[in-house]
Amino acid sequence: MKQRNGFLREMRRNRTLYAMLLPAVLLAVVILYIPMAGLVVAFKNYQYNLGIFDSPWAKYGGFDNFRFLFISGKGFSITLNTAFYNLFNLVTSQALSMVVAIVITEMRGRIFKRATQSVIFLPYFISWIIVGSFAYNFFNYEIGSLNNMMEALGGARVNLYGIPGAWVFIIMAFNCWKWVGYNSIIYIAAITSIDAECYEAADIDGANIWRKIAYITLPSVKPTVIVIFLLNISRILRGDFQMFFQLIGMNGQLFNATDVIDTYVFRSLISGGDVGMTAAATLYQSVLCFLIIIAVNWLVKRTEPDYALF
Amino acid sequence: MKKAFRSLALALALALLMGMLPAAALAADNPLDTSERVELVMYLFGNEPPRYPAMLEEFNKMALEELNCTLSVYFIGWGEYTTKYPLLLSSNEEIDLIYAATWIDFANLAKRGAFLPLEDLLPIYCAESLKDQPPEALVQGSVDGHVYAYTSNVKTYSAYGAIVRGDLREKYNLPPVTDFDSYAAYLQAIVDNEPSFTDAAGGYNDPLFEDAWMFSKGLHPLTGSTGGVYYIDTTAEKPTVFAAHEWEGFREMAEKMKDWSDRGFWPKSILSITDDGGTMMKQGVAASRVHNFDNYVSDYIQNPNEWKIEWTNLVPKINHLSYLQDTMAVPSSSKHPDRALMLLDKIRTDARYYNMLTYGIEGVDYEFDENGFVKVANQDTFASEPGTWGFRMEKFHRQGVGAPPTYVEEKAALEAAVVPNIFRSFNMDTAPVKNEYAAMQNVYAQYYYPLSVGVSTDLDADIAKLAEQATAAGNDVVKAELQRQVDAFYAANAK
Repeated sequence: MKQRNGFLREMRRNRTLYAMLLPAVLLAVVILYIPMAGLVVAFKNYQYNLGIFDSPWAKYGGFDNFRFLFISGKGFSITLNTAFYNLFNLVTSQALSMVVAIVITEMRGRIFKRATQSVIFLPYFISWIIVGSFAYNFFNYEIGSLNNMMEALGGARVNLYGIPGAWVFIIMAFNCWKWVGYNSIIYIAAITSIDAECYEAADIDGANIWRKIAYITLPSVKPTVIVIFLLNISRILRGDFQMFFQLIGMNGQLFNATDVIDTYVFRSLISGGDVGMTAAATLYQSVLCFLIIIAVNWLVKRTEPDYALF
Repeated sequence: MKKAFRSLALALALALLMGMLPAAALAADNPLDTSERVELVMYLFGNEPPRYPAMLEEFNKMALEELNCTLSVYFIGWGEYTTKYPLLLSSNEEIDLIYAATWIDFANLAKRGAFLPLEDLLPIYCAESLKDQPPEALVQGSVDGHVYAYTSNVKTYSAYGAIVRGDLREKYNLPPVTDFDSYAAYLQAIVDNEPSFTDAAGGYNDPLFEDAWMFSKGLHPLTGSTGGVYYIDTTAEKPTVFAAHEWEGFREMAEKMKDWSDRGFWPKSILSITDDGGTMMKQGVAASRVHNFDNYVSDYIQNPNEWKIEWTNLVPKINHLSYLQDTMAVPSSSKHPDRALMLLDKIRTDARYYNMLTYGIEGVDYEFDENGFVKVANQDTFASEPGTWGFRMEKFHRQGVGAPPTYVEEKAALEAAVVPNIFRSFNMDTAPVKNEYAAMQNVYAQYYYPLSVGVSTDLDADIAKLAEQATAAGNDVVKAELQRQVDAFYAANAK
């Protein structure tokens, strides 16, 4: 009884604030929560004329649609691959972004600074399809520029398309190349918001540039790093499909090292188009992502309670 | 007693009513009634030509006057069809006519209720055009005993062959290509003498060498098209389903392809090439490619005449491909299937309607030359046949200006080489084993495709790995199901 009174009183007291919140809540409910009911299609044997809710349930208590993911033991390896690539790419591209942000903020010449930033930012606008053909023209055995260069320098030609392991690094490099400019903007913003007085005080105390970076810049951007990390963790089981598909495509030789959930699902269902199975794959990713973010947030909360998301 | 009498009376009345209903319905309104003005919606594949709306305006004037309907056409682009097509059918958006085909999963969609059954509607609303429809085309468009597809009636062939440049062949004094060995001799000459062709055979990530090889040995893919996993041997007494890697000639083929790859007929990174062979020929990167008759004709038209492009069929026993290659269907969301079919009937029988949708406005977008070939005014504003393959008609279908002068003889030669194959009407249903089939497709992409283009350093190990992975993916389960379907089909259709 008391509880309900408390709730009503709270609502009455802050009614303006709640009214302001209402549109956002409504939007979230309509756009994010109501469509979740459609997830049920992952457990259905979808019929076009019956629609999502009237279609019959799939076999095996509704779990039939999930079987293709695990049937040949691939499910485990592609899940691991996806998590590994996302983590590896996250760490490398964020670390490099931070370095770039620090270097850019430390630059003196205004024109040179702007030019550098623009050049680093440029790859963000290049679509993966084009990057894919860059990669082919760069790495292929017969006419690739890398191999031409190696030969000119007296080395032997290498067929990179026959060495799956190399692609871990090639993918990492392309990912950094594409995202560093974009990500560094967030860090540049974080760094410029650091109080200039800190640096002036450090100058007076005789700190050199390395010390200033280590003791002022890095600790100040730490919250930004953690937030970005947490936000990206929620996507850790979603491969950047465009990147993997355009760089690797249908080259089966490389799949063992480069196959992620998204590419596996794409290849398996491209000619099937089974709505239930695609929904099942997405649900699988979402549930795992949800568990991971809960776990990571819990960890952060235990060690650095101020930085936890919720 | 009274009660029993009353129920009897009721039953009698009911029986009478039920018997009368269809008759009443027929008498009340003429089925070909067009008094209500309707707006029909049609979805086609491809890109909308810039002058399409102008053409459609003219088309609709005609349709409104004669059939009291107007047509809106929407195009599903090549970049989005894999998602948009099933989405359109599942969203229950009102669509009256839509393009469909084997390669976009027609049978599965039909089985899952995406289309309306047409067997009762066609004789009423498409009576005229039905006269020109080969009976087997209706069989091929059927799933579970219902006709869902009203297919194009143009004959296409299962022939695959080598498209080579006659000018280069003559330059190196080579005899015409007649089989795989003479084709290899041509490719070897290119590799040895013409280094500017970096991909002599036009190999890319879906090259068709292995498909052509298997077809040439009399194997029939259960999908009816290229890139299949499961085959039957049509020359065998009773068809047995097997996966491509289980075929007794598989090892020989893998060796052949490895030999060709090692001789440099295509680049080592072939599986990462996404430009198709035709594009690479045009760019001067490839000196040949393997494809079908229609692609040869378009290569001939699009490339300089002095290249003297030639094509040789490498598959000795060919069939008419299933008419289900290109068809129109009525989605189950249609509110006016009767009127849609009446319009389709008109398009299929009236050259004015057909030519307008296919070539544009006469005198502005196209004209016919003295040979009856189509002369397109501007490829950029209205290229021929924008998505119209689903209702392409043999009697109206015309070649573009610039087709090979030998076109008619070559087509006649193909027609002469046709042998019947009842399995062209077989529609494989993978739904009961969809998980295993999906896993198998994936195993093939990873382990079979590389072998099929000779990308392997250790054939024995790679073949063993493929077999092992296929078994793990449930190859036996899929095979058993498909064998059951093939047996049932064979029992019902073999004479």
